[in-house]
Amino acid sequence: MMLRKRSSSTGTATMRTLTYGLAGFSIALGMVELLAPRPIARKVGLQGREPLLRLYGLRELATGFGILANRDNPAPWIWARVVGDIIDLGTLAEPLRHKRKQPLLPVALAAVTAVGLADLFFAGALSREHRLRKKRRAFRSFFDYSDRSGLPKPAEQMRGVAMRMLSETVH
Amino acid sequence: MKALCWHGKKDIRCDSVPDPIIEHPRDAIIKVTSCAICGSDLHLYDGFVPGMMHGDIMGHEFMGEVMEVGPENKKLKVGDRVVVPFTICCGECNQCQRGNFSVCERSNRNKSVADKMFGHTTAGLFGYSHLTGGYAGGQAEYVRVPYADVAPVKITNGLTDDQVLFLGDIFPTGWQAAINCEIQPTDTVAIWGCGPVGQFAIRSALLLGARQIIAIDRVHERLQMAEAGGAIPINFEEESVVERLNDLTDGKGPDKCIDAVGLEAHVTGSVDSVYDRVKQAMMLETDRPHVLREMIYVCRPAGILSIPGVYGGLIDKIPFGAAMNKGLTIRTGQTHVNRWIDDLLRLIEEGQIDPSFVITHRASLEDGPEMYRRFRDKQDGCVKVVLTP
Repeated sequence: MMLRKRSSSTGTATMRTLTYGLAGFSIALGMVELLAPRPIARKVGLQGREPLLRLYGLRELATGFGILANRDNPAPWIWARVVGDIIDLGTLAEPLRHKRKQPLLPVALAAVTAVGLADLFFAGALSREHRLRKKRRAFRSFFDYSDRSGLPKPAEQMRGVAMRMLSETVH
Repeated sequence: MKALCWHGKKDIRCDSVPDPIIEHPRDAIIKVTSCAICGSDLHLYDGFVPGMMHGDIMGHEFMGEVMEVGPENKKLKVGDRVVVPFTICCGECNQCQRGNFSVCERSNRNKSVADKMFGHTTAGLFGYSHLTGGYAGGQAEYVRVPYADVAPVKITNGLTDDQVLFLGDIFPTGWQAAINCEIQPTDTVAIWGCGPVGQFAIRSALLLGARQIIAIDRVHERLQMAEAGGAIPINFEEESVVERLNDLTDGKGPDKCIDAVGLEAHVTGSVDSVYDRVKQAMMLETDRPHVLREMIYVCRPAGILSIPGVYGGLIDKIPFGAAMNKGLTIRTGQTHVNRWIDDLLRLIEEGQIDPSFVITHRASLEDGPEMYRRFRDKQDGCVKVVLTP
């Protein structure tokens, strides 16, 4: 665990990489829903709702590209994905209510729930990170400690001063 | 008198308490003119150090004027201005004779407890739990100094409190951390933590001749202060520490690593720091050793790890196989303040360093509880707080 090269200090970077993974997944799913809604509708019991699936496909594409285009703060687009996940769950609940038995319906429900939870986690974490960064940026302009060296000369000229002083004392 | 007292986790109050009295012929009573909140006080504030009791007086960084001396104390006299090292030492035991003042064998009044906890006792410390003697601390108007004919250092040269106050702890602590690294002119020294001890470790490494110093933190203004002291800053929230350290050392890793963070390493998104936080919450681990793991991993083989950061108890998942196979030397311990203080006082007297650069906040003793909170949360650009009783 602790010997992984990126184990440390890269939590934020790792989170960002996973977020871009989510964006890629969103775009891929959007393309499938847009281009081939019929097989999906058949497998999850949503026959006749293909236009709705195409609309969902467009939504997935929008959130996916939205994340990639807003790398500084992708959190709002992930929150949009969370809302989309809730809508998806509502749509999948419909065949369940009508007791239409479809082999892939439970799998789809489980997958949407899992992705929804992941979206929720990333949305929360990235929002917190963004708030923190905003706060720090505000402080950056406020506190300036760049003149607090404590040294009488530029650091480069102070290198080894104590070592020389102490060795002179010894000799 | 007024004093900052511990009343539980995150509960420090400015109380009225009885004035201290001479209890032993070698004692002295000091009227505190300046004291500071140390990063290690925050471990008490956050409840990570066992052995604290309601009403214990906090503080181990202080200086002041001698008000009263015991009859056997031939070193001090009333009116002397002194800096008091945070370690209490007798000056006579075998460890003190060797210069290992922070492991004095006689100054801890609760030796039996420390013996059980650590195997052998360490020195008594001011205001740092009953495990280290239960001595009243220096965040107060007056303080009793035991063995006052040994450790306190007289200031006779007109230097200000701000210039010499930190000789009692953080300056020698940063200095000892750098000395323990046996710095060579070709060395790269990486320092985790840019709090007050980290800042002094940076300047000590520079003054001792390190070729390259790298400072790691996440607080912008602390990194800015580190850069002013000659370090290359790494913000661990914005880049990979391991990758950047390897980049800066041609893939070899830093020759020497200093942990100026200790047991409360910030919880990042990394797997091991989340693991530590969860274990700590479940009381299965007392400390969060993320920095130790990172140092062991990134340090150049045959390098040195120097650990001035405070650890309190048990740590988990330390890659000791890497430490052993890479042939790393590990040096740690509380600071033997009196071993270094004369050299450091001379550096200040000769104008080679002015330790007051680190002070960012000043307050009265009454405002102490609020300053604890501000320092702990790193709010308001807070790096070092000096209190004036």
